[in-house]
Amino acid sequence: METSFAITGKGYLIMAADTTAARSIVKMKIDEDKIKTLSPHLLMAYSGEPGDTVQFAEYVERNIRLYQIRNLYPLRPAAAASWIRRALAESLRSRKPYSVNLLLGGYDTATHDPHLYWVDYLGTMAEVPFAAHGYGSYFALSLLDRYHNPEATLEEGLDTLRRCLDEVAKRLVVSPGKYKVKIVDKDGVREIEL
Amino acid sequence: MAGGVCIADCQYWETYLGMHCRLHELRNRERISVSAASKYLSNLVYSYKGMGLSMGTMICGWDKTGPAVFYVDSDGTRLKGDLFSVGSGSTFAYGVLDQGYHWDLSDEEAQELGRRSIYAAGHRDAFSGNTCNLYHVKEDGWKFIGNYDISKMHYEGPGNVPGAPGGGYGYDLRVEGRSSANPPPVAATA
Amino acid sequence: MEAISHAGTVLGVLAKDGVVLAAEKKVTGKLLDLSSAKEGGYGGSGEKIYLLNSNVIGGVAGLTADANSLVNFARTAAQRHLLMYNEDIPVELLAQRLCDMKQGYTQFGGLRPFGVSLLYAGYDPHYHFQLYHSDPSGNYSGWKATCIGANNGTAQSLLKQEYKDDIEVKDAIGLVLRTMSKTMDSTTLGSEKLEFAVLTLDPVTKQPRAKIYRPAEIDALLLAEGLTKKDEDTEMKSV
Repeated sequence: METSFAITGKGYLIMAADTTAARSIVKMKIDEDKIKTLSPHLLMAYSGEPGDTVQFAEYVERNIRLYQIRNLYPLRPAAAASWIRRALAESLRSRKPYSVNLLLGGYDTATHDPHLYWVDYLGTMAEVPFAAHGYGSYFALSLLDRYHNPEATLEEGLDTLRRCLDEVAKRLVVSPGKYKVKIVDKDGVREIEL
Repeated sequence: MAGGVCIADCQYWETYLGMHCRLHELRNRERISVSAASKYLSNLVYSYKGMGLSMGTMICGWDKTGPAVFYVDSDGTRLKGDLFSVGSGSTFAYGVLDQGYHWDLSDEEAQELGRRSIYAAGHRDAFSGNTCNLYHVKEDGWKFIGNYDISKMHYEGPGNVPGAPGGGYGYDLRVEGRSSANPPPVAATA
Repeated sequence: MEAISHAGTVLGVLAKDGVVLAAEKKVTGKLLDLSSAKEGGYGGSGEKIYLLNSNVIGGVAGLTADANSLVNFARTAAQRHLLMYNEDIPVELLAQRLCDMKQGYTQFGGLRPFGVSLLYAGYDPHYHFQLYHSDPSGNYSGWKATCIGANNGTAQSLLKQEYKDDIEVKDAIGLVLRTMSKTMDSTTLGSEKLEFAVLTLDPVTKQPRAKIYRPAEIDALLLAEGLTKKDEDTEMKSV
């Protein structure tokens, strides 16, 4: 089932999401990128109702870009998260709400620290040091309570992420095959292979 | 023996199983094997299948074959293994349990891992919590190690027990004073 | 534009660790009720210097009625940003919001532009302390030190001579008051002719702290800077 993770560390944020797109009992695609780069220092992992996810992600992406063009500098992670939460909360009470869960991760170039926001389709938002969505969260959150270190180096952070992915692979019946992993830090966004 | 899910079912049938284990001992002049005890419970709950029982249990003990753990649930599933977790908080416990488990844990390390895993479940699962009982079964029988308050473990730790790292298990306590901020040295002075 | 060149002077200086704003009040007199400036509110007598948002202080020069309308617009714009993004509005963005509106009034016939120039002294995490100036046409620009209102040319050339890069707030306060005393028509510098405000960072919370001085505090400051004539200062006696 759909699973996404994100963890912060010393001056960086790692985000991972599985790459399967499934419909009913069929895997339609095994290399789908479910992490969007919203701005040079902002990532968003999305999951939920097929169709809604990409539509909402693109809507957010275009609006964040518009703000950047209009106002010379991009939105900071906290401001972007607030705007996106609001978009979801307004959608919830509309005729056709978006059913999308999000992890928003960014690096604030003004204060030099990573920020991570856990957002669900109801418009609940929480700033957290690590987060997960999907069935994987049931295994990973307790593990991260135990092993996460806010001051971990990138290599240590990736080791902690590997623990999460290994645990999910070990215990979850319908564990995802592959993950896409992206990092955001002072230099911007990059993708890596685990 | 440990049980989860419907507490009333577990309390009743585990007491019942205890009674039969004692009867076995009286009738056969030796203690029942872990395998037999778990099979007894498994057959019993299976006979009630479809009638609404809801149990997840682990039968743990030491017999002629050495240490054994059996997982028995109300579907009638019975599994032998060396690492199990049951109940609504089991996934959270697994997360900690799996990552901390080695085949050659010392007594203290094993007790600490069990305690820390139950704390994780009590903390993360809405339907688990309050306190945790810890037992240790060895060749000469079971021993009650202690009862631990989940909130106390969160804020103060399990107390002065062997294997514990000292201090609360809570995330905020564990990482207190640490920060992910990484300002460049020039900006820090400006 | 004409109204602005006769309006009370507003002067702003950007420092390394803050921004200083001072303004000359024109509406004075013994019978004027100043009780609200002395106690209650957030300080200031509400003629020249306004708190636009927790991180921005505005100084106005021009038609007072138009200025009130713009201040109200600015405060609303700042709150709208807070509601949308849960952060204090960046200073330049606030200046832009006002200028977008001011420009609109120059473009269409039948509408009278706002006869107001503003100074914005603010802080945001993007560019830290900032000082902006906007005029009735909707132009805006950032400054290290500037002045609007009567005698702004004199004041600006004084500032140009005396301003140093990496000036600190405590020196900027002196610079502002000295320039102000030379620019103003009246010979005495007292709280009934002056509004004064400083924006700094709270040393503990690192959040912007806007302080608009009360009359008593202005007099105390003038005394400390040695810019007051004690015998003529009626306000001092009441403190």
